[in-house]
Amino acid sequence: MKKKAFVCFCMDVTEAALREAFRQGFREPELMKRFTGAFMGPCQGKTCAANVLQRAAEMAGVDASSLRAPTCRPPLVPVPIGLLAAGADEGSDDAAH
Amino acid sequence: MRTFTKTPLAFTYDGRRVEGQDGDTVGSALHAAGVRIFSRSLQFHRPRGLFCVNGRCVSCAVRIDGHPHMRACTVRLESGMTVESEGGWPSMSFDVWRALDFFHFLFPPGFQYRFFIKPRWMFRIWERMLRQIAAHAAVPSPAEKHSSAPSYLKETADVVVVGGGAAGLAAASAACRQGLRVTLIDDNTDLGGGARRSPEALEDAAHEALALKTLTLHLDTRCFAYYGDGPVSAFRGNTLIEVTAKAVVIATGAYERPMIFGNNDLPGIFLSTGALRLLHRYGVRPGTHAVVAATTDDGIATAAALLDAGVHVEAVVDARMHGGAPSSQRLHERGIRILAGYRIEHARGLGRIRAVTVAPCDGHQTRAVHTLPCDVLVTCGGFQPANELCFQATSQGNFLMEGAGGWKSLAQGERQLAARDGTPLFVAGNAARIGSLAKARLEGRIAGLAAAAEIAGGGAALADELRRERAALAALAEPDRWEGESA
Ligand SMILES: Cc1cc2nc3c(=O)[nH]c(=O)nc-3n(C[C@H](O)[C@H](O)[C@H](O)COP(=O)(O)OP(=O)(O)OC[C@H]3O[C@@H](n4cnc5c(N)ncnc54)[C@H](O)[C@@H]3O)c2cc1C
Ligand code: FES
Repeated sequence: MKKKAFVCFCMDVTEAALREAFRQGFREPELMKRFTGAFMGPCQGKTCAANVLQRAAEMAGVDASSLRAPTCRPPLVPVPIGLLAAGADEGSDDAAH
Repeated sequence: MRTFTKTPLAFTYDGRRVEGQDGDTVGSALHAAGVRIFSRSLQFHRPRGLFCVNGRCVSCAVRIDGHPHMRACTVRLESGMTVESEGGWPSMSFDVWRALDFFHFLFPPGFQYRFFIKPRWMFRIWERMLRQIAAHAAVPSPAEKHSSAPSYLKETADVVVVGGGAAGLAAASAACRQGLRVTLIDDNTDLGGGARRSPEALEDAAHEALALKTLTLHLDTRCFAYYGDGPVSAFRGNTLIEVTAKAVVIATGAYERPMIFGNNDLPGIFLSTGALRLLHRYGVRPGTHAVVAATTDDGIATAAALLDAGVHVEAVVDARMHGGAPSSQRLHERGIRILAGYRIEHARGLGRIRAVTVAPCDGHQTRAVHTLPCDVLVTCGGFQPANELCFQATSQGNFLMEGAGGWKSLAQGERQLAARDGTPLFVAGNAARIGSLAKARLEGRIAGLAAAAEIAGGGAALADELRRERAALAALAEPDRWEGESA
């Protein structure tokens, strides 16, 4: 069996999977993200972003610095869910209602 | 295993008694106790162990005192803790679902969008099955839930600085000295960030910061959101901290990039920053026989650090044809084999790394392919800026890579942006652009001074100082030694 080379460790996305995504026409990092799940794991791209962008740039034959990394959704790090409601009583409007 | 020992602390892991020591995290204690497989990966149930040792990669998720999916490397060890592994069937360490790895051809990328939706009625059944396989953590039982309600701290400051590395410290002390009230947030238990590798350079800055009267310090505190129209949100343990400020400095440093090669997820493979954290903070040797993979001089420094700590370094595999000379000369003199112009082809082992196969970078047929035995592989594949907070606050583009035309967006001009509600926002240090300690410090100082100028106006003296610091930054001949491309 060919040994898997992981780009995104959270969602088990391999280099081969990125190539396959590209082949099927998901060429933008945003599309690759939705198709493969890279960037969508609990690390939100901390481990994979640069490597995915680099691979995407190589496949598309463009300069990696021209590619915008997909949005990193809050929270930036895993947060115990109960905490999000902690400020609710004090009238903080972004606590979980 | 340890390079230093402290008061022992006992806890249980999957029902068996394990001993760690004071100052450990759950992760470092388990690694020191010989645990290599911490978790199972989401799709293929591959074994995973400590990797970043910094709360970034989530491969060390375990259940701690009933709380599911905690990153073991971020939770401080306390005596009597109950730690359990998650996922896998019948157990995490012996997982039948591992077979999925060998049937991966059944799950091509995007399979979830195609395969399981037809026929429609089957989806319910598939869904239940997939949940069973992919759910690695059980919801806490009522008895296990937090007994105490989370607490809430609401603070105000003139400037909030996220990140207490060289850049953050410089920004905080510059702003404090301009008479501002500063709140500094860092997720480590001590100040210094990446610069802790050269403690001398840092001691002064940290001491100076601690002596500042107008500084509020939140250590061991993770900033998780700044939306640009409200407070900076962070948490420590069970406390939510929200800081509203007139200016924000983002100095969150960088994330290390993994290298990509076959089996690059085997337990025993570490990011260099992770291996060094394990060694320096907790006195835990990541292994006994190491191979170091380098693309920059970071690799040379990492190998030297491992060697100094009594880890046998089998070889340094350096992708550069010059093999890091002249810096690597010292290693060579210490009897370390330097494989210049080589890269890691794949790692070998089941459940943990046993060897790596290395091949010449340029595919030269004349040069041999080697297999090197090892129980730890440390990779130095370069860094990417940790700039998500800027992105969330401004909704501007998020560019991580340097190209022929330099860095996009964040690195241009004064590194000053504006949050969505107009709050001045500064980016300093590696978070703006990967570079040296000197650069991080200068940028930090500039951010602190500029924040003061924005908030309080400041006089001609401040404007002068800012001009001087900016000139110094412009004059800084930046070595590109710290920048690396992942192999
Ligand atoms: C192996 C290695 C060797 C090096 N050697 C040298 C050298 O010899 N000479 C030299 O000049 N430079 C060297 N450098 C570079 C230098 O260390 C860095 O440029 C400098 O430390 C960057 O400082 P910083 O403040 O930008 O980031 P960091 O020092 O990384 O600080 C960022 C801080 O922010 C914290 N943080 C991140 N996200 C959050 C969050 N969400 N919430 C709370 N806190 C957060 C981090 O934990 C960290 O403490 C080296 C770097 C490395 C990795
Ligand atoms: S999050 Fe713990 S090892 Fe990466």
